[in-house]
Amino acid sequence: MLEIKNLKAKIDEKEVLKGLNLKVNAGEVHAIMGPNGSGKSTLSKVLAGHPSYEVTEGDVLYEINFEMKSLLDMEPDERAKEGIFLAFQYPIEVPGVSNFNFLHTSFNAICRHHGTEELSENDFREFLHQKMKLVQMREDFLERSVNVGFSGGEKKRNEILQMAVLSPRLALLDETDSGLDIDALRIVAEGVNKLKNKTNAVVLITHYQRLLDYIKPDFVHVLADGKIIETGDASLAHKLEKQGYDWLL
Amino acid sequence: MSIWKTIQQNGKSYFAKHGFPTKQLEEWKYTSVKVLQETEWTPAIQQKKPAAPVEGLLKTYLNSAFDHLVFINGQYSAPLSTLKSSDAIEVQVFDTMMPTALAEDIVVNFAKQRQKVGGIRQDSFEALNSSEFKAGVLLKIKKAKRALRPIQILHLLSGDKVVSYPRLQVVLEDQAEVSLLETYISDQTQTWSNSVTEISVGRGAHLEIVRLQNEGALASNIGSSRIYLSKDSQLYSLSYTTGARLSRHNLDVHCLEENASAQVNGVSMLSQSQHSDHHTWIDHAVGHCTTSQLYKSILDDSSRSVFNGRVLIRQDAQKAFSEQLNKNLLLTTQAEADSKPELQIYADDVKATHGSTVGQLNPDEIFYFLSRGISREKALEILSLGFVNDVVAQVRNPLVREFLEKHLASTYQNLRGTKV
Repeated sequence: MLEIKNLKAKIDEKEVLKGLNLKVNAGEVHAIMGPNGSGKSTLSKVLAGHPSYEVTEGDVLYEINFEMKSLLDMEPDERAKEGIFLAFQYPIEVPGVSNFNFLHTSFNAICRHHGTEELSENDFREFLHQKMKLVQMREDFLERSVNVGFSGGEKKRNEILQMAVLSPRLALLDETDSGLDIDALRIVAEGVNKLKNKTNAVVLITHYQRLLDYIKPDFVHVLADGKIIETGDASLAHKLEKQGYDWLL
Repeated sequence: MSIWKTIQQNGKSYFAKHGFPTKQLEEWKYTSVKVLQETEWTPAIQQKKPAAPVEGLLKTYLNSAFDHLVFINGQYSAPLSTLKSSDAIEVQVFDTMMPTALAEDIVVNFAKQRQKVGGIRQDSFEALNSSEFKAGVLLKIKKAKRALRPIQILHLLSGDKVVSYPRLQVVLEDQAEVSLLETYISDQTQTWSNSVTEISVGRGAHLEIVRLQNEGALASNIGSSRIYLSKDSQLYSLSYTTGARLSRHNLDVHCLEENASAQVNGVSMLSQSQHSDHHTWIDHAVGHCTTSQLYKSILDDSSRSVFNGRVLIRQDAQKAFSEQLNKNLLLTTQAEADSKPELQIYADDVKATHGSTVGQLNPDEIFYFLSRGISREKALEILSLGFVNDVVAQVRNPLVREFLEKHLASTYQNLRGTKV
């Protein structure tokens, strides 16, 4: 469903991705690991269409209606409507906008795009109620401003809630495990596992092997200096945990 | 002799002496009123019939949950008005030539209140209204009574170069309670509304007052509001500005007895070349009063907003607590916000804060919305409205609050919807 070909991207004249290749099929879980500054977060932001990054070479193909199409000339909201979801490493606080309103607007925007029925406030509230159980979020979070005053763990759970509501085809989780205690990590991981199925794919970007104890990856990739330098199965993550990255670099 | 005569004469002589203010005056340095001075105005009341049908315009405002007093070109419209005197309120549409007991009562009340204030704001437009007004509204909320429904005093102008001088005098007796809406609207003709509102809030009384100004693109709206607060009274005020090419609202709140509190808020949403100026004057005449001000504006195109927040804490006003915050959101690089706090503190045991910000929408917030499938247009709308939501959310009467929330959202959509 996703094919990244020789992708090069820069921010503020600094090249961060230097020819990255990756292929992701439906039903797969990929973990991308790598040292600080290797380009992990850049990759997720480029895929989501963050305006600060400029793609200078290569292409990103994504399956839309059984056809592989380039993502690069699509706006971020169009990508989201086609099922790409980025769980932010640092979820944004939005004062003055209720979490409920945000989720409802987002959900209906995506429904409208696919020609499915939009939900009224009441119907959406009911639908949301089910999803909130998944990430063990309390009702009062809905009336609060988006992420304002949320703890680190609550922000990450809120991201997974959004993911549950939007049921994306390609979920990119950017350091979703960072800053989580073990209970929050388990809740987040369980949420992801329940949402995973044969038709969607998950790309986990992580620093630590820890998350991979809870979400089993089919592939583990090592990203260093803007390129994928090693690919293996789950055992590669264990090896990295024990030996670090030095043996690869 | 008319009981209004002293007021009229004082107004006349003040205006004759001072005339229209110029930008040389500190109070008017950001706002030019040349257009008012240079236009040949006809009293709206002479026009009577609106220049074009106004039913459509009125429909939005004649909310069935409110009681209304409606004025079209300064002329009271009995068929459109629903507010009647009751055991809780006494209402009169007065004519300065026809003295009534209520008018006398209220004029005497205000003369007393004014005397209590040591030094009141002197203003040419207020003087001009006092000199020219021929009619107005008297409203009394009786002791320990509550007006059950929000009361709206609506002024609609429609005509070519017409001017109107609305006058509203309200007395809340002790422990009375009311939610008032002063609404100023006009069509796309050139109009000028120059209003004066004066309210006395009795002991332990609660007043909520919203001044909604959504006049047309060629309109000018100048308003002076003065509110006197007695012991233990509470004021919730919102100056809501989305209309007129030129507008200015002077709002003076005088805390005359202890334990009065005032929440004085403002929301402006402007576009094109709209210019809106808010001058507040919060007077702590005695101690132990609490006041807060929160004024926010959203500025599109080359619009401009001015906020001048004056807080006067007089020598005897110990234990005064006063806060002030002015925040401005610029949607373009041509928009401009001027913010000027003016704290005059003569007591030593007080707490007074102020702050102001001018900024743009946060690109990270916009990207967050986009990444959830929300279009850029919708993201800007939600974030802009979100910027002022907290102010509208502080409106206490739920019917008024809901009305304003809808009004604000549809005003935004009308403004941005017409743009490419």
